[in-house]
Amino acid sequence: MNQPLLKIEGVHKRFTRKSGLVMQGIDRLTGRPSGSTVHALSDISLSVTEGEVLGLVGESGCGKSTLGRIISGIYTPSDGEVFLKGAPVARKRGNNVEKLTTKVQMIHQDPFASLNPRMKVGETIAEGPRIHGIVKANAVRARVRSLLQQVGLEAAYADRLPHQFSGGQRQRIAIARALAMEPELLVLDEAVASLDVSIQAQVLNLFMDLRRELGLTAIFISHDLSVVRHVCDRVAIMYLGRIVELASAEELYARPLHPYTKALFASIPKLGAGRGSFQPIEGRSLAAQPAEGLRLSSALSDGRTEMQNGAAAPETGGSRQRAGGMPPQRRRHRRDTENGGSMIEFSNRIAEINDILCAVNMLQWDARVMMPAGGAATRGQQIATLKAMARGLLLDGATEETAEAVLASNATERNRRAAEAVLSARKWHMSVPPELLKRQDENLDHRRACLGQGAGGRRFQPVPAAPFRNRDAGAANGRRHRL
Amino acid sequence: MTKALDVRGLTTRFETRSGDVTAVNNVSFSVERGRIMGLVGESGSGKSVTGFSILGLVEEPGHISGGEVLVEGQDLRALKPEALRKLRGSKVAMVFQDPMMTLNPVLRIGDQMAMAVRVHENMSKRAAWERAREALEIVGIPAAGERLKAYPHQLSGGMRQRVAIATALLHRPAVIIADEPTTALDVSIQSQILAEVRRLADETGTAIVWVTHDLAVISSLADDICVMYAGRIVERGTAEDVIAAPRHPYTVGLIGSVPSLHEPGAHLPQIPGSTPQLANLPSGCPFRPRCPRASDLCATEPPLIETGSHSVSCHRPMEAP
Ligand SMILES: Nc1ncnc2c1ncn2[C@@H]1O[C@H](COP(=O)(O)OP(=O)(O)OP(=O)(O)O)[C@@H](O)[C@H]1O
Ligand SMILES: Nc1ncnc2c1ncn2[C@@H]1O[C@H](COP(=O)(O)OP(=O)(O)OP(=O)(O)O)[C@@H](O)[C@H]1O
Ligand code: SF4
Ligand code: SF4
Ligand SMILES: [Mg+2]
Ligand SMILES: [Mg+2]
Repeated sequence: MNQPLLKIEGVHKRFTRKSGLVMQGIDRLTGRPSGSTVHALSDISLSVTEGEVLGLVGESGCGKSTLGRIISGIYTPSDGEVFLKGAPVARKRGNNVEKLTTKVQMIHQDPFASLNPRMKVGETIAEGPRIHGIVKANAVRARVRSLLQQVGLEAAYADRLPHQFSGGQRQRIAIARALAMEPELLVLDEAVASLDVSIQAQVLNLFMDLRRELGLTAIFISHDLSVVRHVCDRVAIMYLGRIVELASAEELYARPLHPYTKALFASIPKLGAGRGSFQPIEGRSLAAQPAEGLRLSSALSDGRTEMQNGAAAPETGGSRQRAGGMPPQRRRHRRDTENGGSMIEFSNRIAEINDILCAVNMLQWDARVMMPAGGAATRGQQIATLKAMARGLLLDGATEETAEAVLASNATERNRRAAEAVLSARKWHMSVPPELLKRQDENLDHRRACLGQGAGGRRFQPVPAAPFRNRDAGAANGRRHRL
Repeated sequence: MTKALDVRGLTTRFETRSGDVTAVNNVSFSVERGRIMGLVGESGSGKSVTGFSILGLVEEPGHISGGEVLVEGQDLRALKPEALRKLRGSKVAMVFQDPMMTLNPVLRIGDQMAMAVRVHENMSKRAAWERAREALEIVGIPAAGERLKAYPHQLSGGMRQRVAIATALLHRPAVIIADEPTTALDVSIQSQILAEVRRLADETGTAIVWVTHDLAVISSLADDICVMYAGRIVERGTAEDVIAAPRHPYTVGLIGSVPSLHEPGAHLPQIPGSTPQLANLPSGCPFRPRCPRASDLCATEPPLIETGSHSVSCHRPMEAP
């Protein structure tokens, strides 16, 4: 019996959300307690043997990425431990997490944002091994060439920039970069989710080939049950931060035992199974219950404040893309002396971006996105920016360059628009004047009375023909809020 | 039977920095009452632009350069902008991927739905509110009366998408165009919405165009399927025919690359190459550089070959079964 390569023992992860000013305002407005704790993972124990591929499946927000990040040493668990070959993968140093191994490598969903656009692909691949002394300096070039070939790209591509590649090719490059570190464990977080079906097949084939050649061990996170079935040996089904079922893929797909697993399998439309072949998970969707009082649901924060008994919504609108593979990030609050308001400087903190998005939704006509130099942005720009962020386009410090590269390339219009929004977002600040936060407390009716009045800039129109409100308003100001 | 929606030769072009692109190229299809038409294709194939073009909502630098869009026999393209605006939301409605494109975040659901009703119909606020409640019930929202008093942010993503669909339903439109409305939702929520939508088409007779890139979703929801590639419809037929017996090499490749149809761990058949750039398509068949069946003939425009309700635009399609 192989000794397990990876061992996870009793891992819990709690996130404490300290409310920023905007959220405090909303908390007050809605009567929700400020600063709540999310129990993202509860008592996870499992082990993975060498050469095994373990799938992690579950609905959005169930904690897959959080577990992936803990395994990769990006987060530390609140309780419990993670060992790779008997040694811990990370440890806590004050407020920072110190990664103790380079032998676990993570591959993210978005091949577009995870590569530095200014760096030649070959350099990107060589960077890690060079820093960590994995390859001798004079052998680096040869290593890069062989890695590129291994992932099915031409060795000569080493001198190109990321924007010269398609999504599928970029994902190959991301895989090459991870392999360059000679990892013992790969964590793939929705690694094929953003690819078109025909391209997805290419990347899955590559993964399976590499696995055969290198005997890779991997954690494969996906919401796509058919993909998981295809590449995994064992599968863990997660629900609200717990593993509810764990079995060999064959066993699990043939005989799911847990009621949730059964419902999940039944609810997935299958190709060729004929019309109406799926069974919705009935009304049980926790989100389907009437809002209790004014407690905000998932989209607002993550509604998971009281998770016991599964009493909160597991579903966050659009969060599948949004939450995919975000590195730990940060947000800064700052005094905006000029405005006398509080300012949130956008960085790439996705959890908070939900908050910001919702704050903007709620404060709609008052929140202003400002460029440092002055010049208030239009509503359309604000929304486009926030959406770009919410969709996870702001992944790391390199995003700005990525966006520039996208603009310089002949990218699709959609990507170009997103890139424009991202570029603006990097420079903007959202400022909410303090008197507004006070006003929020007064009442919502008052807010409604404010519609169409606020100060400066373009006003938000009260719904005429609802389904087309934004389209028509968009037409008026020459832009469409679609990303 | 008059068709709820009949699109003929619709063509939409964009003038971009990298030259003119034809995002929707001579697209024709029709949908009968109570039927769901799935429009599938990969990213950039022109699905959304087709949807927007049907509603006349194409913006600069794009313009619709040809074709007809008949809704219950009436040509939307011949209407004046004002008349067209009246029709949108009442006779044809659209549902987007992001429900917040439809919902006003600062108004209660009921207020905004009632307002939407009263834009098109002269009725009391109370009656409008009642109509909104019915619409919410149709899309399977429990405690609809309660929900009307909620603000959009108080609902989950799935719930908001239902509200957006319900809003589209308010005037009992003949046609709903739904652009990837479940793509951002979780699978379990998606399946609930799909079930409601199916029921809705069956019960209300609304014709639905469901835009998606997800073959599995469309095969379990739609009656008919149009497959788009590089702005054209390359194959069209009943869902059963297209999924079980695809004739266009692209459709064959697309369906073949779905893992669930293969033994676990097996090598997946893959379409070589990458999705095309509209700005530099080859002459003749746009799929030519990636097509395993391509021959010299394919450098010329492929013919439309029809067998019954199944049609395919290809020089050398797979044999009809
Ligand atoms: N950095 C963070 N700060 C606060 N809460 C967080 C953070 N990261 C994750 N969470 C919360 O933990 C829970 C689990 O999130 P996680 O991203 O692991 O879900 P997931 O299963 O990967 O979902 P998806 O399929 O949408 O990617 C969610 O409620 C999320 O909001
Ligand atoms: N405003 C625009 N300006 C220029 N080109 C555009 C514009 N909008 C769309 N296009 C082009 O039209 C083509 C079709 O785009 P469309 O949005 O319809 O794709 P889609 O099939 O909906 O893709 P997805 O699955 O990614 O939503 C794309 O190549 C796109 O670049
Ligand atoms: S409610 Fe009971 S039967 Fe159902 S999943 Fe939970 S423990 Fe199992
Ligand atoms: S026309 Fe030719 S190239 Fe195009 S799909 Fe048919 S066989 Fe292939
Ligand atoms: Mg995730
Ligand atoms: Mg689209």
